[in-house]
Amino acid sequence: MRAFRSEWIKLSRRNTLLGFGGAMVGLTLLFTLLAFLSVGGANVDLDGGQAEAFVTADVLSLSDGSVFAITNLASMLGVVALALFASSMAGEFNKGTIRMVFVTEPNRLKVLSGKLAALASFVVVGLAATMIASVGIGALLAPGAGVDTSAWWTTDGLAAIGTTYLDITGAVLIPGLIGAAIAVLTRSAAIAISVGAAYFILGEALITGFWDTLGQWGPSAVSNALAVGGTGGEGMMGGAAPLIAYGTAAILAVGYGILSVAVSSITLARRDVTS
Amino acid sequence: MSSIRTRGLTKDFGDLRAVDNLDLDLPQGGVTGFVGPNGAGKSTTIRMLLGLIEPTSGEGEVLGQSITTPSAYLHRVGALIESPAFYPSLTGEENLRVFATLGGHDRHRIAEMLQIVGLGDRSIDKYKTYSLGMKQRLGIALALLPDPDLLVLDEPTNGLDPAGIVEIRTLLMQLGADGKTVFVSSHLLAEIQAACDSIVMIDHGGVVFSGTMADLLSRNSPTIRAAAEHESDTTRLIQLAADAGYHTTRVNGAIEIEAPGHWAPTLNRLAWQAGINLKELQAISSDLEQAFFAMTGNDKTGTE
Repeated sequence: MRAFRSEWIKLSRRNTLLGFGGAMVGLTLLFTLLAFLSVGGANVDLDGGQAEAFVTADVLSLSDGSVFAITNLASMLGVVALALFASSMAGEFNKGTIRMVFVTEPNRLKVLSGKLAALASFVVVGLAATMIASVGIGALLAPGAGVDTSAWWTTDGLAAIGTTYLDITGAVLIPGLIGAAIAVLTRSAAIAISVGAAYFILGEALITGFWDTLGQWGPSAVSNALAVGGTGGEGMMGGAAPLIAYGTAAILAVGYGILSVAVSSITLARRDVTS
Repeated sequence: MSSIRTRGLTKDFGDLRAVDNLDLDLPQGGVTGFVGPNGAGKSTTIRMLLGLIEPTSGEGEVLGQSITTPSAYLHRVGALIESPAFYPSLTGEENLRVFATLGGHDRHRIAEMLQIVGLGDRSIDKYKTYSLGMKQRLGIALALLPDPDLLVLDEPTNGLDPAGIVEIRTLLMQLGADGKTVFVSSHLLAEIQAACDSIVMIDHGGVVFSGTMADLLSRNSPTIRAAAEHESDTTRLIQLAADAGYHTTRVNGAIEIEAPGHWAPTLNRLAWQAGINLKELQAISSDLEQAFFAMTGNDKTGTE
């Protein structure tokens, strides 16, 4: 708990709030704005040249239309979380503060669990703020875009907001925890962020092109499947629908989380702090 | 009971033996210096004592607790390890708050510690705006935060101006006098000599001396430096010293005689009686620097 509170002193500084919190909220608001301007007839093309636009007034008027923007941005929000976790973990090594952290709290697993819990809570709070902002801006823009929001406030609509929030939280924490593990292994924020982001943004998709079974269990595929509700959901950004069922994705997500924390714990507990 | 005790403490990094069968016994209370040439193993030893590095073999105790369980004693230890490292975008006060919260220390001590190290006026400035000396002071404030029984400081005066060095030296001596144990490593041998009651000197990973400062200095013979006005008289001057039973060494046209300082007037009289005019006669008292070079065999001016 002390490590958790100590980490929050760092997380609550303006740079972090504006940097990572601002990136989450800002990205989602931008996408929400573009989505509603697109269906409103403005000259914004989000369909990537496809014959059929994937953002329509009908789609946004559905009971889960309020969470359309944040759902489609889950993978980008995951990369933001990855950068947050990786920079926080590797930053202790880069700045040299890790030695004073371990002298102040010699139980390294307590330090790790406190840090990860604080970072996860930052993401949870950030996602809540992001979702509130996205739904709020969507509701404001809806009348001008010809979107009927009456279904958003029904029981189904509110349930969609709740379940999407939980799913996206899980989807975003997977890259975050993996980013933390890479950071502990490499002790470099630059390497951890570049390797992690490259894998989640492009790497896994490229590899899946040659080895399609990766699309059934790879961490990026799992994260995306969790965000859109598994095989029954639409593909992110109008892409292919996920190949992983929701239940399987949830189990794999927990597995990736446990594996990442285990790698971080074992590495941190066994390694000498030499510089 | 020793505040720090090690037996056969050894650390290998691959083929390199950084610390070799180190036996340490640090008394409780007072200020003990820790010196040695570059690569002697000081930093590795300090890191093993603080639980940052696992020894390859051997054993150690800090404040009566085994170094295999650092959580049993580190809450009673304050440390500054090598250069101070903090979070650049936090203020000095926020940085201390991060560590006070992490360690469960009394946060009310933060302002007091900042005052003690002279950072009271700059506590709300960001760490990245601090000078090297101010960073060092913040590191010392952090080390003092837990009100420790044992203070382990690696180069605490690094980057401080002369007034700051005196200030920190006085603080450390006061802490030692108050019953705290201060274990301090420094490049500045004169500072170690001025501040410390005891000293541990290591070289090539092993202890070459451990004891009181007075004991160390008494082991290193005092010398008398003399030079004849005419260089041709130097041989006769050496003979005078040899007749009195003292060994001499030629050094840049002068001679250094391994003799107590009180023999200098006698030499002056003997030289005058022999018709030798002296252009230089000086009794050189032993200091830590001489002892350091004598014991480590390192005749260069730099130390770790």
